[in-house]
Order: sequence, then C-alpha cells, then structure tokens
Amino acid sequence: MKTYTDLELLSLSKGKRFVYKLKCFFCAIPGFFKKLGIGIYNAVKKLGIGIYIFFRDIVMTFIEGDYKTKVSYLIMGFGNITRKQVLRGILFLVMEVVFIWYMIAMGGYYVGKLNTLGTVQPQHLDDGTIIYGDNSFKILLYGVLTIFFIVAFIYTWYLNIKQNRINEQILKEEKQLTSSKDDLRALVDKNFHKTLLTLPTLGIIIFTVLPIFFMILVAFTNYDANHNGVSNALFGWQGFTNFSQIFSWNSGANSFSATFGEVLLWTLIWAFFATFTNYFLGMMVAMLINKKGIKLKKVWRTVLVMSIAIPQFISLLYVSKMFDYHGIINDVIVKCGGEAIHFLDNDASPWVARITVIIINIWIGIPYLMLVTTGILMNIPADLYESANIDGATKWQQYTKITLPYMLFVTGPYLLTSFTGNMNNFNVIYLLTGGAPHPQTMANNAGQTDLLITWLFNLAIKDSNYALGAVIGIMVFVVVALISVVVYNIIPSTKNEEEFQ
Amino acid sequence: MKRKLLLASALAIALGSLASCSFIFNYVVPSYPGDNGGIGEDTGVEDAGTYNIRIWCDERIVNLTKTQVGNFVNQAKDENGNQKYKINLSIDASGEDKTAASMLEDVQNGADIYVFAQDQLAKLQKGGALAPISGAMEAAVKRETEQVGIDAATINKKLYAFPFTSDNGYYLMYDKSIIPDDKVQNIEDIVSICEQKNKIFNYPVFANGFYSASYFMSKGLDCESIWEIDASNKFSGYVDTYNTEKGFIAAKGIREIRKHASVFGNDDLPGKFGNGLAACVTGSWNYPVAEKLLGANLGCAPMPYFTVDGQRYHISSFSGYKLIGVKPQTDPKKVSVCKRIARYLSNQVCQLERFAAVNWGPSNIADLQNPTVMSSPGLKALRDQQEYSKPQRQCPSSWFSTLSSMVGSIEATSTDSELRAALKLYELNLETMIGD
Repeated sequence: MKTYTDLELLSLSKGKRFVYKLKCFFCAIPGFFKKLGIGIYNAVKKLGIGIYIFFRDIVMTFIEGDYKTKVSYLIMGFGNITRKQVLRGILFLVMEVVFIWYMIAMGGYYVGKLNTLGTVQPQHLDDGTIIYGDNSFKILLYGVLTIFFIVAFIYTWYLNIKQNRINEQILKEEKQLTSSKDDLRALVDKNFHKTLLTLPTLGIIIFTVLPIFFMILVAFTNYDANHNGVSNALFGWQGFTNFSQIFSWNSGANSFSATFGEVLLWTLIWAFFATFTNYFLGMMVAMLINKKGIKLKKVWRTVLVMSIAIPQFISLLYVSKMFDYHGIINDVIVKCGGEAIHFLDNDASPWVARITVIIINIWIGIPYLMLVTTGILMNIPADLYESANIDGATKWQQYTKITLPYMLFVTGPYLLTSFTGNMNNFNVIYLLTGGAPHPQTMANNAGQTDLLITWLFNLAIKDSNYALGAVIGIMVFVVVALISVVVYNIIPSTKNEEEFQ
Repeated sequence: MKRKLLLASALAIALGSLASCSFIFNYVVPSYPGDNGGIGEDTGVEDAGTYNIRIWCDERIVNLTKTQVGNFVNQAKDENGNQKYKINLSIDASGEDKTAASMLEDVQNGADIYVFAQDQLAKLQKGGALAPISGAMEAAVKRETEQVGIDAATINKKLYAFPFTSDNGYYLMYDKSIIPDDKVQNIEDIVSICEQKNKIFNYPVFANGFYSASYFMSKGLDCESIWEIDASNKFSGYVDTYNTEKGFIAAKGIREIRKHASVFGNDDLPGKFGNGLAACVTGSWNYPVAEKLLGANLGCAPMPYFTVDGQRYHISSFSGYKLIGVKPQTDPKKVSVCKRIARYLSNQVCQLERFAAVNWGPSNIADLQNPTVMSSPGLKALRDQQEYSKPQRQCPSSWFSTLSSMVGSIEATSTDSELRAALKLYELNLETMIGD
C-alpha cells in the first residue's frame, strides 16, 4: 500500500483521507498481532530464564557454599547470624518460625482443604442444634492468603540463600560485610524507598490484590443462597459452569446470555453518552461563562458549583421524585394538556427510561465538567486565537482546530477514566430507576436500565448469588481493561506527548 | 379540697381526651395468670443457666421486647423458687425487610432470636438460619394459632417459627369524605368516583408481585402457584394455574382497570391521603400514616369485587404474618432457652401487649376474639377479608418479580392473543426458577 507523506495526505479530499486512514488501520492489524506475539514470546522466554536462574542459584549455592550457607537452607538466617549480621539473621529466622507456626496452626488446614473447599457439611439436628463443619468461605479466603504467604516465604528463603552466596563472595574478596547498624542506617538512606513502600505494598496486596484474587476464584464455585458455605451447605469448585451461562448463547426468553448481552450493550451506550454529553455540554457552559462581555461570571460559576455541594444521592432522589408518574414534571405536562409519562418506573418504555437517566445525568454532571474545563480553557494561549482571527478562521473552525484538540489533549486521560467510571456508575441508575423497567424477557430480574454493576449488586446482595455476581464482576473488569488499554494507546495525550508543549 | 377536686377533674378530662384520641392508648392489657407460654413447656433439655442472647426486632417494639424478656426472666423459677435464667440481653432494631438479608449474610454472627416477614421463611430455612420447633411447644403453638398462621410458619410439615402477628396482609383504605361506605364493594365504583372527582385510586397491582397476585387469587378464579421444596431445600417443582382460562379472566380484569387514568400503581402513596388520594390498597403498616392524615374520615374495608364479562369476582389478598424465629445453636441448652423466649414473646399476653402498644394485630386465636382487637378498623377489615385471602406460601423470591413483570406487560396488550402470550411467557419463566 502506498504511504503518503503528511503534505500529500493533506492534499487529498476528506473522503480519500478517510479511506486511506481506514486502509492504514486494517493494514496495521497483522503487524499489531505480530508485535503482540513477539511480546508474549519474549515475556515467556524471560520468565523461563528467570525460573532457570532461580533454581540454578539454589543448586549452585548449595554445592559451592560453606557449611554456614548449607545450614541456612534449613535454618534461615544461620549464615547471617554466624557472620555477625545478627539483625538480618534474626529477621530471617523470625520469618521461618512464624511461617512454620502459621502452617501448623491453620495454614496447612486451609491449603489442604483448598482443592475441595471443605468436606464436612454442617449438621442440623431436630432439636435445633447445629454442628458446624468446614467453612468453605474461610477455606477459600485463608487458603488464598496462605498461598500468598507461601510465595512470600519461598521468596524470603531464596533471598536468605542469595545473601549467603553474596556474603561468601564478599568475604572471599576480603571485604567487610555490612553490620546491623549499617542495615538500620540504610533503611533511612540507601534503602529509604523500601522503608516507605513496604506498608503501602502490603496494604495493596491485602486490601486490593487478595480480594480480586478471591473474587476471581469465587466465580469458579457454586457460592449462592443454597450453598453459603457455613450454615446450610458447603460450596465447591464447579469449573466454568457460571461462565458457560454467559457464553452459551440462547436467544430465548429469560436467557442469561441474551440478558447479559443487552445489559452490556446498554452499559456501553450509557457510558458513552454519560461521558460525552457531560463533557461537551460542560465545556460549552464553561465557554459561555468565560466569554468576554458576560456579566456576573463569579455568580454563574458559584451557582453551578453550589449544586456540587449537595450530596449526589440527595439530588438523585429528589430528581427521581420529580420524574415520578405523580411528580411535578407530569403535573406540568398534564396541566399543559398532555398525558402523564412513565419516565422511570416499571411501566416506562425502555428507551424513555434510558434517555431520561442520560438527561438527568447531564443535569448533575455539567457543573463538574464546567469546573474542570474552565481552568483548561483559560490556559489555551490567546495568540493561537489571534493568529486564527488574522487568518480569517470562523468561530467554529477555531473551536474544532484549536479549542477541541487542546481540550482533548489535556483531558484525554480524564475522559478515559470518566468513561470507565460511568460504566460503573452505580448511584445514578440505582437511585433513579433501580434498573426498571424489568421486562418478563430478561433473566435474573435484570432491568432495561440496569448497568452491569447494578445487576451485579442485585445478583450478589438481593439474590445471594455470589458466584454469578463474581462472573459479572470479572466481565466488567475485562471490558473496562480492554477499553482502557485500547483507548489509552490511541488518545493524543499519550501518543503525541509533545504536541502542545 | 375544692381545688383538689377541680384539679383531679381537669386531669381526668385531659387524660380521657388523650385516651379517646386513639384506642391504642386507652386499652389496658388484661392479665392472664395462667398463660405463661414458653416458660414451663418441656423442651427435653435442662436449660437453667446464664446466657448471652441477641434479639433483632422492629425499632417500635425494642423497649417493649426488653420489658417482656425481663418478665420472662422474672417468671421463670426453678423448683426452689429461684430465678432459673440469667439473660445478658442485647436488642437491636432491625426492620423486617432487612432482617432476613442480614441473617443470611452471616448466620453465625446473626441474632439468636429475630422477627421477620413470612415471605422470608423459605430463604431463612434454606440458609440454615432457623431451628425447627417440635414437641410440646409445637403442639401448644398449633393449639393457639389459626391454621393459616401455622401454614405460614411451616415448610415440609415442620414448624420453623412462632406466629408473631397476623396483620401483614393488605386491604382497602379510603377517604370517607370522597368515597361513601356503600361504594367500596366494587372496584368499578371506586374508579368511577375517583374519575368524577379527579382523585387517585392507588393499587400496586401493576408494580409489585405481592399485590399482582390478588386478582388471580380472586374468589371463583383461585389461581395458585404452589412450589415443592426437595430434601436439599431447593424448589424442585410447581403447580401453577395462572396461565389458564381463569388466569386469563384475571388478566382481563387487570387490563380493564389499567385503562383508567385515576388508577395508579405506586407502592408508597398512603402519604397522599388528603392530597388527591381517595383510596388505596395497602397494609396495616401504613395504617398509622393514613389515620394521621384522615382521622375519622379513614375507612377500612375488605378488597372489592371486579367484574369481567358480567361476572363478579371478589379480589383476594395474601394473609401475611410476622414470625419470630430462633437461630440454630451449637449449645442445645441455649437453643432451648431461645425457643422459650421466642415462644414467650409470641404468647397471648405478649401479643396483646404489642397490640396495645403499636397496634400490631395478634395471631393468637384468643386475642383475635378480644373485643378491642376486633373493633380496630384495620384489623376488622383484615378479618373480613380473611374469607377471601390466601396464605402466602413459600415460593422462589424471583416469583414475585416475574409475576409483576407479567402484570406490567399486560398494559401494553390490546388483543386477547397478546394477553395469552404474556401469560404463556410468565409460565415459561417459571421453569427457570426450579433449582433456586
């Protein structure tokens, strides 16, 4: 395919330019997959080499090490203590003791039961007494925690061996080993980054990574109201059964896959409109207020900012009452001679309800966007507009050639996070419609304004179907991640970082 | 002396007028020395001792329940006349709509004794959150409660809770200044008056499965949805007669009423009495709101008739009960004491005390005969409706939403074949609930 230079491209007509770009897009697809393949290959190769080095170090250190190093394989920290690195040695030893104690006290039990998630069912006796058996929930949670702990222990054990090897090397070179005092000093000097990052990293692992891992695993179980894992029946692994409900396509009434498709489609439509209507209208309001000659600018801004001060759920509940069948909006319509409309309730037409929530969201979202864009608009160099005026550009041309590209450049990442945020915008939908209307044809009581996140809430909290909720959660993650990766690589903010610098 | 007399008379008049504001405040609970239900009944366990017990109940009865448990402790004596139990009690306010969900979220850490709505029974039993009641206690409860109440607390022939109130059903409340008493027998009359006077008749038949069923269960149509529960506590099958000729008649009736602009289907309209609302179908939980707004103008009546093809059918309703249940315990003694307390809280005296305090309708047969209970307008309407009402049987939780979706779709139908299609779709959806 012929490649045009920038000048040649600009000389083409709009239609030809579009066709050329389309061709470029499709021609780049094989290259993208090739690059992806090479990337995966390199990553796997790197991992393989890493594993090889890991085992090689362990074996070679044992063969070549002295007795202190060899004992350290069993008694962690022995090499450090005997080489007068007492603090390090004690820390390694403490880690080993805690690990052994934990595994004996509980870790062993939970890991041992992880393959079944428990076998001893609770027994309900006729007199109302219960004999609790295993607890599937705890087995899964602590089992995962124990696996994390085991991995952390193996890594520490490897560090302990590696340190022995390094220490032997230093001593062979007749250099001095670092003392405990040096280690402590390093914590606020050379290793200060480690000191600062230890707690946040632990926090992220325990409060973010662990729950995500747990949720992913729940998706492969039958954890629901009939199997709560404690007082009625244990839950267990069931492979991809939950996922198959989504992917085994069935277009009939009450089909889970069809419902999932409809909810997903609406989630994407909603996220698109909720993001871009607010963005452009917010920008428009900001431009209007910024315009020369507009009086009382501060008053207009304050009025809009005040609406942010009211908690969103209060505004939403109030607006939902306004749009109620007996609300003020319908009162006005009826008084004007019209017929009352079902805007948001179960009798509403799906598209009326959907358009209404988008409009209400505009009403709520504009002040935020007005605030965000006001500052950015003020930062656009005025000389750009002056040059455009001299060249005879119209206001519209100035907007599309200067304002919009600049705004998109600066707010590109914001737009992306806003889009993903709107995909998970629980409040607006839950408080306005609760997912309604709920037609007969949708499975699991999903509604036509339900987003994946509100549906997930209903599945998990109202129906106690935690496993299916987890599957939806994973699907939300996949969709959001995919969109984020693709869009992040397209937006000018990351592609042409220096465009406006 | 004269001054004292005057003061006493003034006080008496003031108290009298206060008391006459509502029958709730002037009713004195008679004492029943013989009724100590729950205290002495044989549970097969010697359970004297000290216990930590946690109760969840509606906030309106927290203090009363505390007093009643105190009475239980004081009345329970061993053979030497010493107190048999020491109860370290904690009572948390928890609305019946939230209690089941909270219990099922974490049964082990949930309340030991809790009050819940009848429709949550299957869920709770399935979740392993209810201890069965048997032996002397079961026999006593069955003796003292109507069969409908026993059915409400029974699954697979096992009693799982004590009937606590019998007023969780719904009936017609109306503004007497708009609708005369003799015009509340037929829904067509109610609607026609509302249209003439530009007022609202609220009937959540279109939005809420709990009310949607009322048309289908009407006397003469008697549609049923009976669900079987297997040994693993899953819904394993059903007999459902909604998609039949009789169901079709009910659906036609609903479509007919839906055509009228004065008929609304919101859940929470009683607050509009005095502000455009002429009548509404609701339950005793809304009686205080309606009474506050309408005062003497508030009328209560059983559900009206509707007419299809010249034939009249009396609209049915669910006879709802509140129940009090006990969580299974690892200690047989504790489960025995918890059952005693729950039984005591649901006995004749305690139910009457609750009626006097918060106007909750008793489920105890003797209490139901009580003249003061019988004179309560809301409870009287419920009693009159009882002939036409049906017990709320155990069914999958999604049944209600499926039913309301079907009724909701009736509005959009204009031909009989579309109406039949909506019923057919409802029937198809029932299949998906098997295994819930």
